[in-house]
Amino acid sequence: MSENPNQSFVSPNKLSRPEQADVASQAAVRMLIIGNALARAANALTPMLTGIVTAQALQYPVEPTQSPQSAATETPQPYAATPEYQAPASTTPGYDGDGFSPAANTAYLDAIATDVPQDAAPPTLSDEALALLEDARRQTEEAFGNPDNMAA
Amino acid sequence: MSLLTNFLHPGQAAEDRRTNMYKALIHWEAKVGGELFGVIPKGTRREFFCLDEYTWVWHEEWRDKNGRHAITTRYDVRPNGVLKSQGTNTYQALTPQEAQNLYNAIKLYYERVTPELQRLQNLTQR
Repeated sequence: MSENPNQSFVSPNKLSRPEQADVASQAAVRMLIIGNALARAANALTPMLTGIVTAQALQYPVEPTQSPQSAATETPQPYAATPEYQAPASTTPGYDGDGFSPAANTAYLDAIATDVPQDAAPPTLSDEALALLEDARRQTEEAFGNPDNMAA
Repeated sequence: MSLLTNFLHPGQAAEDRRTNMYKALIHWEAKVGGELFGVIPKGTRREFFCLDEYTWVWHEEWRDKNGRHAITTRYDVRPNGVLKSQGTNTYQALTPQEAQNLYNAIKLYYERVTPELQRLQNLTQR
């Protein structure tokens, strides 16, 4: 993690007035480009990340569900007041309920540092998982539209 | 840029100045981006930056007993996924873990870079 996350581009005192105007206009352009790039990356990656969760969920056996017939024959139970809802403790490492801790973030980013340049392995998703990803992508597109049609 | 060029083509001079400023901003972002992934080993140069709306670039150079090495990884964002290319023109799909890592890195890049860009954008309003 950077030791100086607030490092600045350049001190304004070192820029002439025309240069300040130029850097202001170009910074505005970069803001727009980076904002759009983030949105595009989110649109492109979210179905895949959603697919990871789906694919992981498929590894667990599905509990047999109660059939409508058996449910209809059961005696209804009177409503019992439930104690105040307590969210279950998260079992995800680094997750504190509000977000991932900096330590977990660092672990992710350290993983990138070693994974990205060397990792040339092809994707290992099964055909079933790929079909789920395609479904998720299609549903996202139906719900939110094609990201390519978004106004820049 | 020479004084003569500035005098004869003032519009061109201003355009060149803006282009140079744009490049300087990307260089600065690349440096900040390279520091998102932890401490950079001595003798290593690491850069990560947004080239345009569709492209993210990772560049790393280092030296070891076998000499100098450099890897440039380019991530092309398509509507239905992200493709990666390294050195050649062949593309690979991202692994799920790499997709997660890239997404986290892009979000962090945005969080680190945009406050400074916002400050620069407001320079002329002071």
